[in-house]
Amino acid sequence: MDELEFRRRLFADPNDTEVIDHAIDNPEQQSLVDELQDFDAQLKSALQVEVPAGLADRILVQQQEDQASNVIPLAWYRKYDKPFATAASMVLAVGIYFMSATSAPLQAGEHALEHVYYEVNALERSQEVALQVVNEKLAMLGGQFDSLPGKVTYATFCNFKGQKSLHLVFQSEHGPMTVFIVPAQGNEYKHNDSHFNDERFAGMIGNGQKADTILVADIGTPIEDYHNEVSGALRWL
Amino acid sequence: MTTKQKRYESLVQVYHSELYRFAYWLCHDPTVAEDLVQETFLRAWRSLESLQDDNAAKPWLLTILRRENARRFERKQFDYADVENDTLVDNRSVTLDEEMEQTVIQRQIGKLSAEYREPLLLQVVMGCSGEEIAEILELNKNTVMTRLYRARNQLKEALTENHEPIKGASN
Repeated sequence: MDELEFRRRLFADPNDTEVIDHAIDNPEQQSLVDELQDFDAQLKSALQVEVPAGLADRILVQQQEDQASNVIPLAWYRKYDKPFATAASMVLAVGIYFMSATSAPLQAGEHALEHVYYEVNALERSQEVALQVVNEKLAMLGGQFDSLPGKVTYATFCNFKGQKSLHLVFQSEHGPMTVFIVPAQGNEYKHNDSHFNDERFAGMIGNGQKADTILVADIGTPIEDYHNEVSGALRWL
Repeated sequence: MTTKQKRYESLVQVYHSELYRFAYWLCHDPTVAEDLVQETFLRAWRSLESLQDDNAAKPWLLTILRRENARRFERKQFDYADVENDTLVDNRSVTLDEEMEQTVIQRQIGKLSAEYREPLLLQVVMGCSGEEIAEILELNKNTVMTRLYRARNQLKEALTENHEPIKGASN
């Protein structure tokens, strides 16, 4: 390797082992190797910008939403090929008839449970979302949390019956709990009952000054206590 | 959790930071950089089956990201990053001297022509080998090595010339 080639290769890659080995017995070349390696360390450090907090989580949430919106309709089309299309449209027609005939209001509790099941993976997250991040989101609805009774592991905006709302998960002593903050203005769902449950989860709805707070947790947890704590810590600005 | 999901999550964990930094220096805008990384991973998820070997994940992801970045320019021709007026990024806890030095280095890297800057970013930020860079940029390896040599040469000259801007840099 002549001097020119040495220089070209070193400048092209200061970590090229062949070039480094070549310089071992030559103090002048050795010092150029050191210089270029220091220079690269400087470059690397100048380019080391901070990565936004929670980026990995946001990427995974986006993928899960994508999966939810793509995989389910695909399975539909595959299952119901042509002969079933007529049947499907009849089912739809009957469905619409019943919906309009009874005009059954979707219960908020049922919707909350469905929502929890739909994003059930959110309950298993363990990486903490800072309270500040939660508050930045909540600020868009006009509120703020002083504290929450557990580490927040999920915070995202959701569509709750047509209403932009905040979906939180925190890890309490009684396991993961889901909270929906649904702005009161314009929400169309009805809640005749403040308590609801199925075989796995139980929940409670509280009407707040500007929003309803819906808490969903495993059955058997002191939901009312947690609900009080959460709605007590929620301030409207 | 499915195997595909696990595989995807580990790709996200391993590469999201590096990819974000690379994207940042491509577009000089934290919001655009985040969008690029999000879009890249979403596309990666949708075509994860086409990645045969996880050892090839880095060049594969970078190829997707560069394509996404190119699309951005197709959509919006005039959205060039203005290097001179860039808001420079806060670099953790460094002394004022170091910060100034880093700012100067960032500016000089910004002044390199794209054909020199991009291989350098791939090497320094992403830790790509010459072969990987050649694959990503669709060039032969000798061309890549020459560009890397020139990139460092120009940078070193510019930075030793008392931070004066390089004039008449040879190509």
